[in-house]
Amino acid sequence: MLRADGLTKRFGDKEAVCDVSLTLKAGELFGFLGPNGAGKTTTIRMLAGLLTPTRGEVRIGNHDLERAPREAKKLLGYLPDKPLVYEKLTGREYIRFMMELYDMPSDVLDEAESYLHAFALDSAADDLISGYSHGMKQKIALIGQLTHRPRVLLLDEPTVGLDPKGARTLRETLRALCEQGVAVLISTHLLPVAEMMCDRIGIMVSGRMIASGTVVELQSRYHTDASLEDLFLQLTDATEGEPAG
Amino acid sequence: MTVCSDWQKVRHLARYQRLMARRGIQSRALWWLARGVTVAAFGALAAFCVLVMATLPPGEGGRSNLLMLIFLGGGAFLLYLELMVLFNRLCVIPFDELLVSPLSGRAVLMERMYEQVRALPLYALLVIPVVITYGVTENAPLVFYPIALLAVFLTTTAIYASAALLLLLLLTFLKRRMSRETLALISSIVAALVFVIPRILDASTAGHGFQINLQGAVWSMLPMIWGARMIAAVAHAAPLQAVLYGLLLCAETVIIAGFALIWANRHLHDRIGRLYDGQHRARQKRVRSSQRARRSVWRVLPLSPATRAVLYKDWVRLRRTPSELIGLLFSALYLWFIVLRPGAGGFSGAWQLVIMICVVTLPTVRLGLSGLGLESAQVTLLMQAPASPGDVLIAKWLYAFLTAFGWSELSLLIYVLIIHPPVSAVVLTAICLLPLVAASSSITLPFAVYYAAFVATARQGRQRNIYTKPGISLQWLAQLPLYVLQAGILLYGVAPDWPGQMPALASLLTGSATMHVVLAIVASVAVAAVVCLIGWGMALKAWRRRLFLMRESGALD
Repeated sequence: MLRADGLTKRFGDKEAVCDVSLTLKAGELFGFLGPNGAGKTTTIRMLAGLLTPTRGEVRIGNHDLERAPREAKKLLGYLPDKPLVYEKLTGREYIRFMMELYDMPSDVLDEAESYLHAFALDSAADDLISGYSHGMKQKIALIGQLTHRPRVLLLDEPTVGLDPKGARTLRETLRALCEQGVAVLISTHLLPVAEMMCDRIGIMVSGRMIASGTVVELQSRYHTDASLEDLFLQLTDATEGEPAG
Repeated sequence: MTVCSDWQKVRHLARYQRLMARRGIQSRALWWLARGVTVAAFGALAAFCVLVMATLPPGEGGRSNLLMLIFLGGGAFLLYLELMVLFNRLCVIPFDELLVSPLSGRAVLMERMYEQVRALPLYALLVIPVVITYGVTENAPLVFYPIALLAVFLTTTAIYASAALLLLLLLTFLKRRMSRETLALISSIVAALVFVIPRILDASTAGHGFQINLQGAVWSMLPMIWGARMIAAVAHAAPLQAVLYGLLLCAETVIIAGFALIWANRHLHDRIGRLYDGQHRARQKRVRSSQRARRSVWRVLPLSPATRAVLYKDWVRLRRTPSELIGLLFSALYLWFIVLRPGAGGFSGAWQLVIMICVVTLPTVRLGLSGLGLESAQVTLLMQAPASPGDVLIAKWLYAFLTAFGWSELSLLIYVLIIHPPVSAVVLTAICLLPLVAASSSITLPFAVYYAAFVATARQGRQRNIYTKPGISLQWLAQLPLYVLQAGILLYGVAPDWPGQMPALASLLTGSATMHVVLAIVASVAVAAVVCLIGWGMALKAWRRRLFLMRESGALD
C-alpha cells in the first residue's frame, strides 16, 4: 500500500535522512521508533508529501507521490505531532471541512459521529476548537483524518496529550482500521505500546533505518530474548556510540 | 526590589529582545525600505509644515498657532502609536516567561516600555524642523534652540508616560483580552477626542472647517501644547512663562510615570492573569448553529469541493472574528465625517463619489491578505489534501472579493441615502465596483502569498501580525495605478450627470450620457480583466514557488 525506496533528505550539509526504504502492506500496523532527532518526523513528512526527498521515491497505492500527488493524497491521512486545526471552527464544522476538502459523500458524517462518541468528544463537538485542550485537539484532528477514509494513515506521536481512555480508544480504532485493510504507520516513544500493537517495527537512528521486522525477528536477529525496550536501547546506544563517518 | 535593580534586569532583557528581533528579520533590504518609506513620509510632512510656517505673515500669532497645532496633531498621533505598540507588547504577544519569573510588575512594565522608545524619534522628526523654522522666522535668540529641543524631549516623554497610564487604566476595566483592531478603534477615538473635547468645551475657539484657534484657555489644559507654549514663550522673551510650562511638563511626566510604575508593581500580574482567564471563558462559548441548511447554499456554487471547503471555512472565521472588520470601519468613519459633509475639503459631486469609492474599497485589501496570512501553520492541511494550487487560490480570491464587494456596495447604499446623487451615476458606480474590487483583490493575491508567514505553531501565529510584514506595504504601490485608472474611468462615466464637475478627460470626448456610461463600463471591465490576469498569473506562480520552498526546506516560514 505504501512503498518508499531510498529516501534521503539533506538540509544544506546535514543529512537528516539517509537511504531509508520501507514497505507497508494493507492492514499492517508499522511502529516507527527512534530517539529524538533520529529523522522520524522528516521521514514521515516525506511520506506525506510535505517534504520533497533529495533522493528516492514514495508510492501510495499505485500512485507516485511526486508525479500524481492528487491521486496519492486522496489515499493518505497524516496526523502531525502538533495537531493542526482551525480554532475558529467547532469540532463538527472542522470534520465537515475535512470531509469537503477530500470530497467525501455525506454518509461519512454518521461515521464521524461514531468516532466523536468513541473519543468522548460528542458533548464538545459544537464548541469552538479554540477552547479545546491539547488532547481534545489531537482527537479532533485524528477524527478529521479518519473521515476521509484513508488507505494509508501516518501518525506522528499521536498518543502525546491523550488521556488513558483516549489512548486506549486510539489503539482499538487503529486495530479496527487495520482489520479493514488500512496500512498504519505510527511513530511513538511508548515502546511497550509499540510492542503490544504493532505487526512490524522499524528503528531509526541518526537518519538511518538500523533494524526492521517483527519483534520476534529482531530478537532472533540479535540473539536476545530481551523486551523491545531493552533491545531498542541496546541498538540505539551501540549505533550512537559509533564514530561518525 | 529597588528601581535600580529592576532597571538592570530591564536592560539585560532588552539585550536579548534586540538579539531576537535582529534574527527575526528575514530581509534586511525590505526592513530598511519600510523604515525608509516611513521616515520619508514623516520628512515630507515636516517639509510641508516648514513651508507653511515660513510663508505665514509675522506678528499675527499664526506661526505660534501652527506650532501648537503641529504639537497637538503630532502628539495625538504619538499617543495613538504608543497605545498600539504598548498594548501589543503587554496584551497580545504572550510573555508568560516574564510573568512566571521573579520580576516585579514595575520591571515588566519598564521592559515593555523600554523596547518602544524607538518609536519616539518619529515625533521628533516631525516637530524639530518646524521648531527650528519657527525660531528662525521669529528671530529668536540662540538660547532658544537648546531650550526648544528640551521642550520637545519633555513633551515626548510626557506623552509616552500618558500612553502607559491610559493603557493601565484600560487594563483595570477590561475583563478579557481585546484584539488589536478593537484597540485601534479605541486609540483613534482617544486621539480624536484630544481635538474634539476642547472644541466642544470652548466653541469660540473653533474656526471654519479644520481651522482651530489654539490660543484659548481650554487648550492650555492639554499637556501636548505645553511644549509649544514653552517654545513660544522663549521666542518672545517671556522666561517666567517658559519655566512654568517646563516645570508643568516635568511634573506631569514624573507624576504619571511614577503612578503607572506603582500601579504596575501592585496590579499588573493580577490584571494580565484576569485577561487570560477572561479569554479562556470566552472560548468556552458554544456555537449551536444549524449549519446544514446554510451549507446547502454553498454547495450550489460551481466550485471544486476543496475551493468550496476553504471558502466556507474562511467565511465562518470572518463571522467569528468581527475585529477583522473593525479595520474597515475606519473608512466608514472617514466617509461620514469627511466625504459626506457637504463641501468638506472642497470635494463635491463626481469627485466626492470617486473619493468615497477609493476610501471605502482600499482598506478591504486587508481581507485578501488575512485570508492567506491567517492560515498560519494550518496551511499544512491544504498541502496534504488533494487540492491543486488553483483550488486554494480561487477560494482565497473569492473570499476577499465577495466580502469586499459586499462592503463596497453597502457603503454605496449609505452614500446614496445621504447624498441622493443622480440615479444613472449610482447604477454606473454599482456596476463599476464589481471589476474594481475584483481587480483589486487579484492584485493583492501575489503579495498575500509572498508575504504570508506560515509559522510553525498556532501559539507562534498569535505572536505575530502575520499579514502586515514590512514588505506588504509595497502592494499599495501596485494598487495605485489601478485606482487612478478606475477612478478616471468612473469620473468619465458620471461626468455628464455633474456638468460642473466634468473632468478634463471627459470634456475632451463628446458623446451622449449613455455613450459615456457604456464606454466607462467597457473600459472598467477591460482594465480589470487585464489586472486580474496579471494578478492571477503572479499569484499562481508565487504560490507554486512557496509550496516548492516549503516542501524543500520543511519549514513553514
